[in-house]
Amino acid sequence: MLTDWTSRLRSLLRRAAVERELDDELRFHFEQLVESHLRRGLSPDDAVRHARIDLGGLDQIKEEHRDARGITVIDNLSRDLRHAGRQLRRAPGPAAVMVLTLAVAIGATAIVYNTIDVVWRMVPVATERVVLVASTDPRPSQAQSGMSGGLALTGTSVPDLVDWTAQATTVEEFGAFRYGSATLTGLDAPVRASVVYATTNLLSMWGLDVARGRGFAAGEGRTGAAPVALLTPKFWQRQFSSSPDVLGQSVLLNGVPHTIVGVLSTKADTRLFGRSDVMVPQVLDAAGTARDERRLYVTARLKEGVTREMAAAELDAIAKQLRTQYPHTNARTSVVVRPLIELTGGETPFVLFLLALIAVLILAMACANTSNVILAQAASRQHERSLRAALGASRFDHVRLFMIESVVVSAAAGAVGLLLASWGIDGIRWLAGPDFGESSVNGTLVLVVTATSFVVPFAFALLPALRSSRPDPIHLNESSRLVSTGSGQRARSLLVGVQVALAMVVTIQVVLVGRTAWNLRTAEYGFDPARVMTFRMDLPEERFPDPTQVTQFYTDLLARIEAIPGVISTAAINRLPIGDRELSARVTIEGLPPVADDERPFAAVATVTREYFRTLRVPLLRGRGLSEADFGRGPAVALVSEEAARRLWMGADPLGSHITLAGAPLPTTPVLVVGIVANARSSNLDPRVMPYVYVPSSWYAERAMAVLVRTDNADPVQVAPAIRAQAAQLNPNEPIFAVSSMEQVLFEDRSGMYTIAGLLAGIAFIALCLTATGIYGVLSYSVAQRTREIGVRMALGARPRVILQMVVRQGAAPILAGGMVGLLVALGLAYLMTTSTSFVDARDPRGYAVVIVSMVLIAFTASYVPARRATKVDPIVTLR
Amino acid sequence: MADRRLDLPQGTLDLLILKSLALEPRHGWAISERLRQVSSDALTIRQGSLYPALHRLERRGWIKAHWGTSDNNRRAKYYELTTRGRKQLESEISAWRDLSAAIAHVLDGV
Repeated sequence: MLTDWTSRLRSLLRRAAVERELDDELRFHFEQLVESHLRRGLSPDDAVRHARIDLGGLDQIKEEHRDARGITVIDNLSRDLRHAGRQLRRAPGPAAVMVLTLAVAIGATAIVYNTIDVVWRMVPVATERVVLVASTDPRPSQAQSGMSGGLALTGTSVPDLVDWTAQATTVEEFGAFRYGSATLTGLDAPVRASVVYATTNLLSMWGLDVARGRGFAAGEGRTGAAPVALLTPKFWQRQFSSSPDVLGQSVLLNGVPHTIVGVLSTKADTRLFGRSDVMVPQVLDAAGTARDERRLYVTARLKEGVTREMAAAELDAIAKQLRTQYPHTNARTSVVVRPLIELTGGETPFVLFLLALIAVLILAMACANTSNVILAQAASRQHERSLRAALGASRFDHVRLFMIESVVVSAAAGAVGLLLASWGIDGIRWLAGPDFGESSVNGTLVLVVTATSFVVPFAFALLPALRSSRPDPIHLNESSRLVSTGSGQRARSLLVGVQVALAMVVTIQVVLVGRTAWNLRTAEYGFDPARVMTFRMDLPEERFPDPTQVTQFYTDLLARIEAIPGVISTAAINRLPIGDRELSARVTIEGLPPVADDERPFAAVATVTREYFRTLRVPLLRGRGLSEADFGRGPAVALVSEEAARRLWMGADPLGSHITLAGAPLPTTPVLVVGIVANARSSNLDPRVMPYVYVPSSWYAERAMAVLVRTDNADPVQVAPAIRAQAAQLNPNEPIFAVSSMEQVLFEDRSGMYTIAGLLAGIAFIALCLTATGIYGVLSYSVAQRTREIGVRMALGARPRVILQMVVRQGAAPILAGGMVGLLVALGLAYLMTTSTSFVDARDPRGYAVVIVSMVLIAFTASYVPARRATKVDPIVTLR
Repeated sequence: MADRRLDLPQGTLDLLILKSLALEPRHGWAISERLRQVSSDALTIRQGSLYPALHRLERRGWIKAHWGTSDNNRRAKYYELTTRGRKQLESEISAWRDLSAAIAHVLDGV
């Protein structure tokens, strides 16, 4: 068997050599034969003649030999491939249309596959039966992502988890983690580290291991255990140059020495932990934390045979019990058990399903469109086929030829599709940034594309192949088919209508979102982000226990920064506009009629240093700005934004009135309003402005501040090294982090929107391509079928212009109908989006006009090409 | 003379080729000459079917080929039996003997 195949392979690879050997061998035999005939006394001519007769046809032997070598199939295949290539070259237009259609669809499928793959790999859990357990809270909460069934999923508190662990019988073990950050010292320079607090069993429960050293020991999760830490592979490489000596070394996390015991494996390097630096044990001590501090993400490994529903029922019962036991903190808390993938967001499974559905839909449409082009081709090649059938080609030969042609098209489309996909994936990565995780064109993706390219021909070509291959040599002298049969024409028109409608809907949404994104780009923020750089610091409570120390530190730091050449002004704020979610508080205004606690208005509260308004160029409208004295021991003052003045005071003059702010950490002492500043936006995606109250940073000292530095440099981040040096001189233990330009902060906040706009644009591109090729395919087919009819018309004197109009008009009906439906749906959708979010503005006549005009252009071009072909029909040829 | 020539039963060509190679390696022409001589011209091989058969046997690994020089100093392709080919020959001979004996038995008996 093996020798058989090696010989076949050798035959194929060394074809020329094998043929030559065979030739030599047969010639030798022939000459011997001639010689033996000569010896018997035949004349030379007769000897040669007899030898020829004896040996039989040399070519026949060679053919037999080739059959025996088993390469006929391959020979035939290569002949068929050449034939397919010739056929496609002969009709480059339709071939290009087919390749483009399929390439777009295959590319889209590849991108969707890649996305699903990336999302799926975000949760690095290798073991079975691990589920997500989340607490729910009926109050609308935006603290944690994921809305499911109207309930906001929240994290879980340590005391709740301890109770669950003690009582649950359906769960083998719970593993939990939460995110945090800490200042890491003991290295050359202090750094701000993102920390994952994980229960000691989490790694083994998830089936993750360490690349070096060891994981956590069970006892290290108890209060009082010697603190240990694991490094993530990226942090190990970045901070320690992947040095193996790091094991056993001690670093300070917020001043507490931790021993590094291991390095996580790269398997853990997904979105979940990929952006973290250090993993430390989460202490599970019910006494240590409050029951309503719900920050843990809890996963559970269910016992053998336990379903999600059973676990949910039991945990829910425990939650009910906790509700009565701790009404103060747990009155509204219940528990849900979800698939683990929802760790990346409650809507993930739905979104992935939707993506897969879209991919299938796009593939199906591309196949339908290609099918139509093929049918058109087939109809115009009816004659050629009949001739073949008459010459003895079997139906199988016919279908084979057809399929090979389609596979060639599909393979080309696969190659182009892969290219499109790699561009698309690069685009998504560029837009979505590191959040999207590691994704690239890899072997699996190439495999998926290849498989898709070889499967789709059976979807788009087999039916037309079988249909058009009914062996029918009669066609040769048949002059019927004067009129198109119209069979399937209605289905085809419907297809075109649907595609036009879908393209309309998607394109309109894209244009609306695109315009919103564009408007945001040029939107008025109320401040000037150009030439401003920003960074953050977070002073640990251990080293800065007294608020005055914090204030003093920032005052000193700002003074040092101000002295750096190129710095125009600098200031600090507790919550960076756009970058951070604002701190809000209920405002009580003295002198206004009292309102119930629940109805007191909210305002964003920002603690700022003196130069904040000058640094961001927020103009003062009335009253006075903050002065040096406001940061001393004098009476507490505040500035309010124009919006706050309008909404909160409702016509009264804010200047000179006293207000109190009710928000968890804020002092309750009244402050005096001394000035009104212009509005500044705090969020990119919400064009409405928040009412703002600005108080001096000395009134309420926050340890974590964002510092803003206005420079005279177009690239403000260039002053960062000088700032770093000043900060290190002031205090070598406190790192500065999140160094960025203010413009970058704005861009990053919008990147989510850009991603959506980019994805929508991609889908719109696909939809438009499909629509164009759909119209083209249907009309081509119709023209091919009606060739004779058109020939007759022209013979009877119809002018080309009339024929052109006739074909275009035939295509116009489904296009118009589809377009109208699409427009209505798009309008409805845009209206819904406008009312539910402030994302898009449905009343955007220019947007609609652009879409309608481009759709008309595309539809016309797609129908014009086949229509023009109809006018080129030669009446003589078709009537002969 | 033509009347005395026998057509080969299906499948026996392989056996005859293997047998003719049992003594020494030969080239295609020598095989056909040998078979003609040994059978006293009784067996005729269609010359054209010899080479496909040789290549088939080679592919099965029963014979192997190498290029050599013929008696009259010409380049010729020589075939020789492999170990597996020898075993195959033995089993085919015994199979053939059994078969012809059985047929003879039937013919005599009836």
